[in-house]
Amino acid sequence: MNSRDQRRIFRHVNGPTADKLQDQQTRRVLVLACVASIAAVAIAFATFDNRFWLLVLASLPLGVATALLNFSLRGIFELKDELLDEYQISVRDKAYKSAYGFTLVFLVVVATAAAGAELDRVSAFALAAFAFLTCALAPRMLLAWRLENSHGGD
Amino acid sequence: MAATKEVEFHNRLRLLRTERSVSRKELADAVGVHPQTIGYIERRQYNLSLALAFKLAGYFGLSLDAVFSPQAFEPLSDAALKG
Repeated sequence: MNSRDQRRIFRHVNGPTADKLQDQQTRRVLVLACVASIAAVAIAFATFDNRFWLLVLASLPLGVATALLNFSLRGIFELKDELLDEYQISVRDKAYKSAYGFTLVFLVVVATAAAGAELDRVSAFALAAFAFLTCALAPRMLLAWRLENSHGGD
Repeated sequence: MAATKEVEFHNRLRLLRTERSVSRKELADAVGVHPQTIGYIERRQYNLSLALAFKLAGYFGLSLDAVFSPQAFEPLSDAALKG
């Protein structure tokens, strides 16, 4: 992403739309929406059968939920350090650290379940998609769930 | 490696802002952080860096220990009573 795109994202995540997504309850609703959307994509993979439209359709809510989640976190996972302040960098780094532990446990559980389930190729692919998306979004979902209200204004 | 217990710093930022009618946004813009970050510092939910602490104290034209302290500040009413 070039610096012009980064500046554009910076303006959006610090704009009025993002201001409306700054309370903890909204963030938690967005996290649940992300989890539901990931499950929907995994189900679409499991029932894929060469129907690309199903996969595209199932990916749309995930795209929207992830975008809104990024807005609620002021884009700290997308923007370069130069566009973030020290609090945002610190919070992002802590989020990656805590998500690492979660991801390890999650992958062990998924791998153990998959090993005992004797999955066919399509189901294995769906499970892999579910695991990949969960791990990829884990840092921002965990942070959004935990982050306290910012009490805007003066 | 010995673990260090994080010290929570008290501050007078909100008091100073109110006294001088400075909004969070104005202060944030002056020191180059997001307004939400000022809120997290004021509520002691984030321990700021030394560089930012100096910037904030400098903005109000005060020394570092007049704005930040590892111990709770004495209430102004108590200080006034002592003269």
